[in-house]
Amino acid sequence: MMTLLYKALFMAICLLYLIPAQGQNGWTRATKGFYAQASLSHFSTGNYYSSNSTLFVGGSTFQSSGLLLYGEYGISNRFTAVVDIPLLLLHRFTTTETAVGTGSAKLGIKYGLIKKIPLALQVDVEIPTNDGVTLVNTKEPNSLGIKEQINLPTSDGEFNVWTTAAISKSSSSGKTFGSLYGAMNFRTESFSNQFQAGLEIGQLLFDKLYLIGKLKIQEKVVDGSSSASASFLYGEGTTFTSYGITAMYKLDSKWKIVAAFSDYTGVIIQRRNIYDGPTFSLGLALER
Amino acid sequence: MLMLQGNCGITIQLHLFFKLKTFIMKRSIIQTSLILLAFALITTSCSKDDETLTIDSASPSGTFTPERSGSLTAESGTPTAGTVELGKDEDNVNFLHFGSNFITELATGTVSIYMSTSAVFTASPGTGNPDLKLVGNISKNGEQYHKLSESVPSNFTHVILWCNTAGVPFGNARLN
Repeated sequence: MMTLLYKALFMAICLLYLIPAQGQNGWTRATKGFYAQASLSHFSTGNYYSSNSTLFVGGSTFQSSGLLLYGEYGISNRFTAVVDIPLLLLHRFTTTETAVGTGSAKLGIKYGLIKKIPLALQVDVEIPTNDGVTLVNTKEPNSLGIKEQINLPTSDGEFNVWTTAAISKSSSSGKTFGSLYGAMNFRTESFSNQFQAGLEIGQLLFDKLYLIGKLKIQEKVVDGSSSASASFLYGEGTTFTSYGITAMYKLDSKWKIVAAFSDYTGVIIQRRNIYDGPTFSLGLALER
Repeated sequence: MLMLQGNCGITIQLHLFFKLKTFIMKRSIIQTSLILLAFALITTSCSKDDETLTIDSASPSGTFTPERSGSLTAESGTPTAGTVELGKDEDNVNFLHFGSNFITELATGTVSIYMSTSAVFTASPGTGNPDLKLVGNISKNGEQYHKLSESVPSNFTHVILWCNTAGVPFGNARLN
């Protein structure tokens, strides 16, 4: 009996370490276990979908680069603390100066409702790091001799709360795994609430490389009264379908290299109020 | 900010300059009080010189007479709305007038005002943009005038509010 119990426990711990972090899943960390990741990301596109899903391609190219920090810490076997901070964000159009700042900080607690399935509930508060106004000038004046301004905030200036429920399943070997999740974003400052749902499927290859496919939708739930409808960086009325792939390569038992690609599509939910383009990221992760 | 509103304001400010601090510190309380009283009387008597005089050359001289007008239609999900009038003041200077009911999306930054030969922003930089004339920039909602440097040809039938950086229309109005 005890042998079976130890085997089950060992398998659970193995699965815990097998599941790559920074995704939505039902697993929680073991007590005092942690995952820390720093990554660089880059996004560049000239394709803008308006609030009514009309595509505009005639503007300048929007570019965003970031230094992103992500961490998880097992407070107990059921509670995991989660931190997600875009430490440095650089936003610019090719025709403007660059806006520099820190993105909204996300702090959360994940609770393992049922460990066997596993099913977890996570609540994150997203704290703004500025008032949502970062005006930058165009590099060149217009024909009236005026340098125009554009608002490229690194934080949306509003406090919001994400509530996420996620359920996961893995194969008996632990090499194949998948998660389903749904999340509500309760926003303030008269912004509309948002709903997200997603699917993630992963596979461990050669005992070294995780490949994880991701699919996510975002929909507006309740109309807010904010007039900032066109401010894509506030995400007001932003809807999309996104897909991506993440590769994690185990350097040793603790360190991993993480590379990810994601992009948007209008297959399930149309793209609205969003710059549509690919995001690439490369990072280093430490896990214990 | 004045520049962005298309105004050519002239601001004249006169500032009094004094260096009494060291002197005051060396005097008794009574002497200091007397000096401060004297200073207060002097500055009060000079208060007219310290006023800010702003000459707003973007405001029409006398009565503004609309020649063409229209209502804005919102585009790209912005809340753009309101009346627009093209006309002249008593000095025969051309102005574009946005009514008190004017509103557009300002959170993104500067919104440019174009006169256009159609409702569609048709840029042609290679040929000098013959279908567009940039006439000003919006930086606030509500009533405002924008002085035009020249008269607008009759084939420029529309006003377009446009975000130059993103290349997105915020709204347009046909002027009849």
